[in-house]
Amino acid sequence: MGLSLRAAAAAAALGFVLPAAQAATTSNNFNVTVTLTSQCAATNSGTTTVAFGTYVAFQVAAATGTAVNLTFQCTRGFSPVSAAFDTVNGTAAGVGVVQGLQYTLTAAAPTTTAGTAATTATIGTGDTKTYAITSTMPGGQAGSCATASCGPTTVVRTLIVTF
Amino acid sequence: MMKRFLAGAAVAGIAFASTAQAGTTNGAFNVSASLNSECAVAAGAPPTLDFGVYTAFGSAATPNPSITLTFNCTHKLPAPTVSGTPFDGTNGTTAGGGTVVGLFYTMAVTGPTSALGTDATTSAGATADAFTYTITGTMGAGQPGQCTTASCGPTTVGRTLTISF
Repeated sequence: MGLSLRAAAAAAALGFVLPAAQAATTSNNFNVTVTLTSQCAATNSGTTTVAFGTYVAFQVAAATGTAVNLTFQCTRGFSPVSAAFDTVNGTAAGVGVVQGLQYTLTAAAPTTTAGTAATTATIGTGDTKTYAITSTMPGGQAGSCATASCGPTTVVRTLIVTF
Repeated sequence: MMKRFLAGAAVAGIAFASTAQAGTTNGAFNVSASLNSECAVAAGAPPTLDFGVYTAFGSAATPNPSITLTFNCTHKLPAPTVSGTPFDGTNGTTAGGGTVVGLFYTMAVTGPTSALGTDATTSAGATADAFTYTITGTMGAGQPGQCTTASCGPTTVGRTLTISF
Protein backbone atom coordinates (compact mmCIF):
# COMPACT_ATOMS: atom_id res chain seq x y z
CA MET A 1 0.00 0.00 0.00
CA GLY A 2 1.49 3.31 -1.05
CA LEU A 3 1.73 6.29 1.22
CA SER A 4 -1.17 8.18 -0.32
CA LEU A 5 -3.41 5.14 -0.26
CA ARG A 6 -2.59 4.51 3.39
CA ALA A 7 -3.42 8.15 4.13
CA ALA A 8 -6.75 7.79 2.41
CA ALA A 9 -7.54 4.61 4.27
CA ALA A 10 -6.64 6.26 7.55
CA ALA A 11 -8.85 9.23 6.78
CA ALA A 12 -11.74 6.96 5.93
CA ALA A 13 -11.28 5.05 9.12
CA LEU A 14 -11.51 8.29 11.07
CA GLY A 15 -14.74 9.17 9.39
CA PHE A 16 -13.37 11.99 7.22
CA VAL A 17 -14.83 12.57 3.78
CA LEU A 18 -12.30 13.48 1.15
CA PRO A 19 -13.50 16.45 -0.91
CA ALA A 20 -14.27 15.67 -4.52
CA ALA A 21 -12.39 17.67 -7.18
CA GLN A 22 -14.59 20.63 -8.07
CA ALA A 23 -14.45 22.16 -11.53
CA ALA A 24 -15.28 25.84 -11.39
CA THR A 25 -15.59 28.79 -13.69
CA THR A 26 -15.19 32.52 -13.45
CA SER A 27 -16.04 35.28 -15.88
CA ASN A 28 -14.54 38.57 -16.96
CA ASN A 29 -16.54 41.33 -18.62
CA PHE A 30 -15.42 43.50 -21.49
CA ASN A 31 -17.02 45.85 -24.02
CA VAL A 32 -17.26 45.79 -27.78
CA THR A 33 -17.71 49.20 -29.37
CA VAL A 34 -17.93 50.76 -32.81
CA THR A 35 -19.11 53.96 -34.43
CA LEU A 36 -20.98 53.53 -37.70
CA THR A 37 -20.94 56.09 -40.49
CA SER A 38 -23.97 55.51 -42.72
CA GLN A 39 -23.43 55.19 -46.44
CA CYS A 40 -25.19 54.53 -49.71
CA ALA A 41 -23.46 52.88 -52.62
CA ALA A 42 -24.54 52.32 -56.21
CA THR A 43 -25.22 48.69 -56.96
CA ASN A 44 -26.19 48.68 -60.64
CA SER A 45 -24.08 46.30 -62.60
CA GLY A 46 -23.23 46.73 -66.23
CA THR A 47 -24.38 49.64 -68.33
CA THR A 48 -27.84 51.01 -67.82
CA THR A 49 -29.07 52.86 -70.89
CA VAL A 50 -31.94 55.22 -71.44
CA ALA A 51 -32.55 54.54 -75.10
CA PHE A 52 -34.67 56.94 -77.19
CA GLY A 53 -34.34 54.76 -80.24
CA THR A 54 -34.33 56.43 -83.62
CA TYR A 55 -35.57 59.99 -83.74
CA VAL A 56 -36.65 61.33 -87.10
CA ALA A 57 -35.86 65.04 -87.30
CA PHE A 58 -38.92 67.21 -86.89
CA GLN A 59 -41.05 64.27 -85.88
CA VAL A 60 -44.25 65.43 -84.26
CA ALA A 61 -44.46 63.02 -81.43
CA ALA A 62 -42.26 63.22 -78.46
CA ALA A 63 -39.94 60.28 -77.98
CA THR A 64 -39.89 58.39 -74.75
CA GLY A 65 -36.74 56.75 -73.55
CA THR A 66 -36.69 53.32 -72.04
CA ALA A 67 -37.27 53.35 -68.34
CA VAL A 68 -34.43 52.28 -66.17
CA ASN A 69 -34.02 51.66 -62.50
CA LEU A 70 -30.96 52.81 -60.65
CA THR A 71 -30.34 51.07 -57.37
CA PHE A 72 -28.35 52.03 -54.35
CA GLN A 73 -27.67 49.98 -51.28
CA CYS A 74 -27.82 51.96 -48.08
CA THR A 75 -27.20 51.34 -44.42
CA ARG A 76 -30.32 49.73 -43.01
CA GLY A 77 -32.77 52.35 -41.80
CA PHE A 78 -30.91 55.16 -43.49
CA SER A 79 -32.45 57.25 -46.28
CA PRO A 80 -30.68 59.54 -48.73
CA VAL A 81 -31.56 63.21 -48.47
CA SER A 82 -31.94 63.97 -52.16
CA ALA A 83 -31.05 62.92 -55.67
CA ALA A 84 -30.00 65.00 -58.66
CA PHE A 85 -28.36 64.51 -62.04
CA ASP A 86 -24.83 65.45 -62.94
CA THR A 87 -24.07 68.86 -64.34
CA VAL A 88 -21.26 67.63 -66.56
CA ASN A 89 -23.42 66.47 -69.44
CA GLY A 90 -26.62 68.31 -68.61
CA THR A 91 -28.42 69.96 -65.76
CA ALA A 92 -29.02 68.77 -62.24
CA ALA A 93 -32.73 68.77 -63.05
CA GLY A 94 -32.16 66.18 -65.77
CA VAL A 95 -32.16 68.20 -68.97
CA GLY A 96 -29.52 67.31 -71.53
CA VAL A 97 -28.72 67.15 -75.20
CA VAL A 98 -27.66 64.22 -77.33
CA GLN A 99 -27.05 64.48 -81.08
CA GLY A 100 -28.54 67.98 -80.97
CA LEU A 101 -31.73 66.68 -79.39
CA GLN A 102 -32.90 67.94 -76.05
CA TYR A 103 -34.25 65.49 -73.57
CA THR A 104 -35.40 65.57 -69.95
CA LEU A 105 -34.81 62.93 -67.34
CA THR A 106 -36.95 62.52 -64.26
CA ALA A 107 -36.07 60.56 -61.16
CA ALA A 108 -39.03 59.42 -59.08
CA ALA A 109 -38.88 59.22 -55.31
CA PRO A 110 -37.05 56.06 -54.37
CA THR A 111 -38.73 52.88 -53.34
CA THR A 112 -37.18 50.92 -50.54
CA THR A 113 -36.63 47.23 -50.18
CA ALA A 114 -35.62 46.48 -46.64
CA GLY A 115 -32.42 44.57 -46.14
CA THR A 116 -31.85 41.80 -43.67
CA ALA A 117 -30.45 42.50 -40.26
CA ALA A 118 -27.04 41.29 -39.29
CA THR A 119 -27.11 38.27 -37.02
CA THR A 120 -24.53 36.59 -34.90
CA ALA A 121 -23.69 34.52 -37.96
CA THR A 122 -24.05 36.85 -40.94
CA ILE A 123 -23.41 40.46 -41.87
CA GLY A 124 -26.92 41.05 -43.26
CA THR A 125 -27.71 43.24 -46.23
CA GLY A 126 -28.43 46.90 -46.75
CA ASP A 127 -31.70 48.52 -47.71
CA THR A 128 -32.09 48.85 -51.46
CA LYS A 129 -33.21 52.26 -52.73
CA THR A 130 -34.49 52.14 -56.29
CA TYR A 131 -34.87 55.28 -58.39
CA ALA A 132 -37.03 54.90 -61.46
CA ILE A 133 -35.72 57.10 -64.26
CA THR A 134 -38.11 58.17 -66.96
CA SER A 135 -37.35 60.41 -69.89
CA THR A 136 -38.86 62.30 -72.72
CA MET A 137 -37.54 63.95 -75.85
CA PRO A 138 -39.87 66.62 -77.25
CA GLY A 139 -41.07 66.36 -80.85
CA GLY A 140 -40.29 68.89 -83.56
CA GLN A 141 -36.54 68.98 -83.01
CA ALA A 142 -34.07 69.36 -85.85
CA GLY A 143 -31.16 67.63 -84.18
CA SER A 144 -27.56 67.96 -85.31
CA CYS A 145 -26.05 65.59 -87.88
CA ALA A 146 -23.94 66.16 -91.01
CA THR A 147 -25.00 62.97 -92.71
CA ALA A 148 -28.17 61.11 -93.42
CA SER A 149 -27.98 59.36 -90.12
CA CYS A 150 -25.96 59.71 -86.99
CA GLY A 151 -25.63 57.40 -84.11
CA PRO A 152 -26.51 55.76 -82.01
CA THR A 153 -24.81 58.40 -79.97
CA THR A 154 -24.36 58.00 -76.26
CA VAL A 155 -23.71 60.44 -73.48
CA VAL A 156 -23.02 59.44 -69.94
CA ARG A 157 -25.25 60.81 -67.21
CA THR A 158 -25.05 60.28 -63.47
CA LEU A 159 -27.65 60.27 -60.75
CA ILE A 160 -26.10 61.71 -57.63
CA VAL A 161 -27.65 60.66 -54.36
CA THR A 162 -26.90 62.85 -51.38
CA PHE A 163 -27.03 61.32 -47.91
CA MET B 1 22.53 20.60 70.22
CA MET B 2 23.68 17.86 67.94
CA LYS B 3 20.09 17.07 66.97
CA ARG B 4 19.32 20.69 65.97
CA PHE B 5 22.43 20.88 63.79
CA LEU B 6 21.47 17.76 61.88
CA ALA B 7 18.04 19.15 61.13
CA GLY B 8 19.57 22.34 59.74
CA ALA B 9 21.84 20.40 57.49
CA ALA B 10 18.93 18.40 56.10
CA VAL B 11 16.93 21.53 55.16
CA ALA B 12 19.91 23.00 53.34
CA GLY B 13 20.33 19.80 51.35
CA ILE B 14 16.69 19.84 50.12
CA ALA B 15 16.93 23.49 49.05
CA PHE B 16 19.97 22.79 46.91
CA ALA B 17 18.33 19.86 45.12
CA SER B 18 15.17 21.93 44.25
CA THR B 19 17.14 24.64 42.34
CA ALA B 20 18.76 22.03 40.04
CA GLN B 21 15.34 20.66 38.74
CA ALA B 22 13.92 23.71 36.55
CA GLY B 23 12.76 22.43 33.05
CA THR B 24 10.34 22.75 29.96
CA THR B 25 7.62 20.67 28.45
CA ASN B 26 5.78 20.79 25.06
CA GLY B 27 2.10 21.26 24.37
CA ALA B 28 1.70 20.09 20.75
CA PHE B 29 -1.10 21.48 18.59
CA ASN B 30 -2.03 21.66 14.92
CA VAL B 31 -2.72 24.54 12.56
CA SER B 32 -5.16 23.48 9.90
CA ALA B 33 -6.82 25.11 6.92
CA SER B 34 -8.63 24.04 3.82
CA LEU B 35 -8.21 26.14 0.70
CA ASN B 36 -10.72 26.36 -2.09
CA SER B 37 -8.73 27.50 -5.08
CA GLU B 38 -10.17 30.35 -7.06
CA CYS B 39 -9.56 32.49 -10.08
CA ALA B 40 -10.81 36.03 -9.84
CA VAL B 41 -11.02 38.91 -12.25
CA ALA B 42 -8.18 41.35 -11.87
CA ALA B 43 -9.32 44.72 -10.65
CA GLY B 44 -10.02 47.51 -13.07
CA ALA B 45 -12.61 48.73 -15.52
CA PRO B 46 -13.67 46.33 -18.24
CA PRO B 47 -11.50 46.82 -21.32
CA THR B 48 -13.02 47.75 -24.65
CA LEU B 49 -12.60 45.94 -27.93
CA ASP B 50 -12.83 49.06 -30.07
CA PHE B 51 -13.33 48.76 -33.80
CA GLY B 52 -13.30 52.54 -34.17
CA VAL B 53 -15.31 54.19 -36.91
CA TYR B 54 -16.83 51.87 -39.48
CA THR B 55 -17.80 53.40 -42.81
CA ALA B 56 -20.73 51.48 -44.22
CA PHE B 57 -19.78 49.31 -47.20
CA GLY B 58 -16.18 50.14 -46.36
CA SER B 59 -14.33 48.85 -43.37
CA ALA B 60 -13.59 49.52 -39.73
CA ALA B 61 -10.83 51.89 -38.75
CA THR B 62 -9.50 49.05 -36.61
CA PRO B 63 -10.78 45.83 -38.15
CA ASN B 64 -8.83 43.57 -35.81
CA PRO B 65 -8.58 45.14 -32.34
CA SER B 66 -7.39 43.14 -29.38
CA ILE B 67 -7.63 43.38 -25.63
CA THR B 68 -6.30 41.36 -22.74
CA LEU B 69 -8.22 39.95 -19.79
CA THR B 70 -6.35 38.90 -16.68
CA PHE B 71 -7.46 36.44 -14.05
CA ASN B 72 -5.65 36.11 -10.74
CA CYS B 73 -5.62 32.54 -9.55
CA THR B 74 -4.54 30.68 -6.47
CA HIS B 75 -0.79 30.17 -6.58
CA LYS B 76 0.21 26.85 -8.12
CA LEU B 77 -3.26 26.25 -9.53
CA PRO B 78 -2.94 24.84 -13.04
CA ALA B 79 -3.64 27.33 -15.78
CA PRO B 80 -7.35 27.84 -16.40
CA THR B 81 -8.77 26.62 -19.65
CA VAL B 82 -11.23 28.08 -22.11
CA SER B 83 -13.69 25.97 -24.00
CA GLY B 84 -14.54 26.35 -27.64
CA THR B 85 -17.53 28.40 -26.56
CA PRO B 86 -16.15 30.68 -23.84
CA PHE B 87 -18.20 33.81 -24.51
CA ASP B 88 -21.58 34.83 -23.17
CA GLY B 89 -24.69 33.89 -25.09
CA THR B 90 -26.54 37.00 -24.01
CA ASN B 91 -25.16 39.56 -26.44
CA GLY B 92 -23.90 37.18 -29.09
CA THR B 93 -22.91 33.61 -29.57
CA THR B 94 -20.83 31.61 -27.15
CA ALA B 95 -18.43 31.01 -30.02
CA GLY B 96 -17.74 34.75 -30.20
CA GLY B 97 -20.07 36.10 -32.86
CA GLY B 98 -22.12 39.20 -32.33
CA THR B 99 -23.50 42.39 -33.82
CA VAL B 100 -23.25 46.03 -32.90
CA VAL B 101 -25.14 48.76 -34.81
CA GLY B 102 -25.95 46.09 -37.35
CA LEU B 103 -22.34 45.19 -37.92
CA PHE B 104 -21.30 41.58 -37.55
CA TYR B 105 -18.11 40.68 -35.76
CA THR B 106 -16.37 37.63 -34.43
CA MET B 107 -13.93 37.13 -31.59
CA ALA B 108 -11.21 34.63 -30.85
CA VAL B 109 -9.39 34.05 -27.60
CA THR B 110 -5.78 32.97 -27.24
CA GLY B 111 -3.56 32.27 -24.27
CA PRO B 112 -3.12 32.37 -21.47
CA THR B 113 0.24 33.84 -20.78
CA SER B 114 1.17 33.51 -17.15
CA ALA B 115 2.97 35.54 -14.54
CA LEU B 116 3.56 33.25 -11.62
CA GLY B 117 3.20 34.53 -8.11
CA THR B 118 5.47 33.82 -5.18
CA ASP B 119 5.42 31.10 -2.59
CA ALA B 120 4.26 31.86 0.89
CA THR B 121 6.92 32.57 3.49
CA THR B 122 6.85 32.79 7.23
CA SER B 123 6.21 36.48 6.86
CA ALA B 124 3.78 36.68 3.95
CA GLY B 125 1.23 34.61 2.12
CA ALA B 126 1.65 33.45 -1.43
CA THR B 127 0.83 35.85 -4.20
CA ALA B 128 -1.50 34.98 -7.03
CA ASP B 129 -0.59 33.59 -10.40
CA ALA B 130 -1.86 35.87 -13.12
CA PHE B 131 -3.18 34.36 -16.34
CA THR B 132 -3.80 36.72 -19.24
CA TYR B 133 -5.95 35.93 -22.24
CA THR B 134 -5.94 37.89 -25.45
CA ILE B 135 -9.18 38.50 -27.29
CA THR B 136 -8.99 39.54 -30.91
CA GLY B 137 -11.99 40.84 -32.79
CA THR B 138 -12.68 40.74 -36.50
CA MET B 139 -15.17 42.94 -38.30
CA GLY B 140 -15.38 42.19 -42.00
CA ALA B 141 -15.48 44.83 -44.70
CA GLY B 142 -18.42 45.71 -46.92
CA GLN B 143 -21.17 45.70 -44.35
CA PRO B 144 -24.14 48.10 -44.52
CA GLY B 145 -24.76 48.31 -40.79
CA GLN B 146 -27.95 49.74 -39.32
CA CYS B 147 -28.42 53.42 -38.58
CA THR B 148 -31.15 55.92 -39.38
CA THR B 149 -28.86 58.93 -39.38
CA ALA B 150 -25.57 59.88 -40.92
CA SER B 151 -23.66 58.42 -38.02
CA CYS B 152 -24.45 56.20 -35.05
CA GLY B 153 -22.37 55.61 -31.99
CA PRO B 154 -20.05 54.92 -30.54
CA THR B 155 -22.27 52.02 -29.55
CA THR B 156 -21.13 49.53 -26.96
CA VAL B 157 -22.29 46.06 -26.05
CA GLY B 158 -21.04 44.13 -23.04
CA ARG B 159 -19.54 40.69 -23.53
CA THR B 160 -18.13 38.16 -21.10
CA LEU B 161 -15.35 35.60 -21.25
CA THR B 162 -15.65 32.57 -18.99
CA ILE B 163 -12.74 30.37 -18.00
CA SER B 164 -12.66 27.05 -16.19
CA PHE B 165 -10.28 26.07 -13.47
